[in-house]
Amino acid sequence: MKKHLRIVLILQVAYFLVWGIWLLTSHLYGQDVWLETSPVDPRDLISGHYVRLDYPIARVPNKTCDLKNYTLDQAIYVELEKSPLAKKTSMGQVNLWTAKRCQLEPPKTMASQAWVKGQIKSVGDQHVSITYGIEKYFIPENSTLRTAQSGQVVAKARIGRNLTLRVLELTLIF
Amino acid sequence: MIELLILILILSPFLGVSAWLKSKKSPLRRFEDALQASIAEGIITLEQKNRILEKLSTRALRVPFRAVSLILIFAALFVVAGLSLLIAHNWDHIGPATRVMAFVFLFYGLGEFTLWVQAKHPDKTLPLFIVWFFFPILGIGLYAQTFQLSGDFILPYLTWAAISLPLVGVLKKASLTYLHVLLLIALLFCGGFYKNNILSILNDHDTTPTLPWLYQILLLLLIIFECFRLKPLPQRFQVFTLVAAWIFSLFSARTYFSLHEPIWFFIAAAALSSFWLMMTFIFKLPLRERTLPYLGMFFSMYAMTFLWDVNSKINFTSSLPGTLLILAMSGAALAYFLLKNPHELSHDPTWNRLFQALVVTPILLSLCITFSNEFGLKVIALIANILLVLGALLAMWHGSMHAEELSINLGAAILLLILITRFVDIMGDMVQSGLGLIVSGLFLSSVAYGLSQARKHLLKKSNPEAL
Repeated sequence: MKKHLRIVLILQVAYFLVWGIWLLTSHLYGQDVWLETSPVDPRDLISGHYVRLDYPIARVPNKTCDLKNYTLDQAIYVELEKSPLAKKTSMGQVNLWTAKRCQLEPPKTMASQAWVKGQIKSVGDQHVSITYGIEKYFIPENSTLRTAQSGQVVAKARIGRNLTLRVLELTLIF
Repeated sequence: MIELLILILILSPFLGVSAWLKSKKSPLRRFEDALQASIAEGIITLEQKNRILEKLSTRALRVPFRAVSLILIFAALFVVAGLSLLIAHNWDHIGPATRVMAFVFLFYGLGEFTLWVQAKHPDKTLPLFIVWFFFPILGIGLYAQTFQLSGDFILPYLTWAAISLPLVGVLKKASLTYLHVLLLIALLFCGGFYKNNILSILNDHDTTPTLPWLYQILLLLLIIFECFRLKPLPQRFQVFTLVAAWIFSLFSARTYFSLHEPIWFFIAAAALSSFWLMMTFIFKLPLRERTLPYLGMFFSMYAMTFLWDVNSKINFTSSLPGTLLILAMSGAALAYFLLKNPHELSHDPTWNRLFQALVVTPILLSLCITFSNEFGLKVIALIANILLVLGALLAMWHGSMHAEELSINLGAAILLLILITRFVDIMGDMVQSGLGLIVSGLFLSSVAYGLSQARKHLLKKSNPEAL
């Protein structure tokens, strides 16, 4: 049994090692985008304190999307574009990114374009609701960001190798 | 710099502690080794060695608990506390790579330490294996916080269940299997009956998910398999309760089998309870496992007594799969109990036919509800009342004949419940006046007195010495 238990241990440790290395390298190089957010404050059972984030890019107008034969929870690709609207933050002047269009087919990515991958949650009359896996951000308990109001916080996110977004940090708008 | 220091502090146990532990032996162990060596050289025989060890008090050779040991324990606690504080204060400065490597080394170290302790003291490893069981979820939480992972809330727990499955499978310890089963049950219900997760079987926007149903069935089968590995513990039969609760949740929640109207829950309760009872007979479960299905059948009959108060047209809208499932369960239970040899239901030749009738009647009554109008529902309510009273009286009679105090008390309790309920139903309006309250109180007192006397008489008849 000791031999079997050691094999189990090695497999479990290897899983965390491989997963850790993948997480460390998946968003090492990628395009950074600034996203407007709306925070709410619950508590996560296993990961300490976090704020729930909502993004305007989570609601994309139907008319700008190619949704032929979609299914719920299906992957969807959204093209982001830098808006001319600039905001002053503690990191200087930043331009926010907004959703331009979306499609179900993986994009043939061009260098000048910023595509991100999400998941269809629902399709209404006007908008399609999309989640990107960045709807929670873990921050220390004494951080001032937890009490920020809607529209006062922007998120700096990076597009990874598989077009998924990861929030790098939150910052207040002055 | 701080990361390097913390990494060294965490890695240092692996740099020499295993070698140090191997070299340390208690005086008793050294003496035993010396005796064994003496046998090998022919100085003493094996019998002499055994007699020497028997003669010696082992306490004399045990390492005494010194003040030094106490100081060492406190020293270790201070080091651990200091390390924890150091990590907590500098958490933000510890980079993700350091966190990952530190966790991986800690996990591996914990596993190796557990295996070492298991080899030396096999009876003292359970707490370590429990820590090992919980370590993956600590890692998942750490990674989620470090790399800002979010999305499906059920995925971390599903991953934990999958990662810990090999450990539970290899160890075959009841306590770990229990923990894993609890985790799977939490996934089954919290995932299946909440929306926006990979396991959700709720209908959303009139679409029915298909893959989550497969996950639910797999989870259920895994739970059943792990429960039956808990032999010979009787708790393994609680899996039947779990399956019954799951089926009832399918009816209650917005799933493919959802029952839209309350009336269907009367029928579902009777169908599920009788099907459950049937399974306890088929699998020859212990008698105590029939308590809950009997209770279910009783409460479904009791609920049917309130159909008397229905004065409007009943809406029988329900999902087709839900209706078919209820009819299938009712049909299977009905066929089983009707075709079953009564002697196999109860050994008492007088009782077994009555038992058969009492089990079959709630199923038939519940099926009759489906095609009843208002008058039909009142008839069903009346029959349910009569059957409950008859059942209570039969239980008291059976108890007095076979000296079963429980049956007598149960019958008395059911009788009292029916009498009070019907009294409140019929005389409810009267109780609002002062005179009504007095009359009601006197009536209830006399009923309680009469029942108590009847119960005592039956108990005395069955077991004169008890009273």
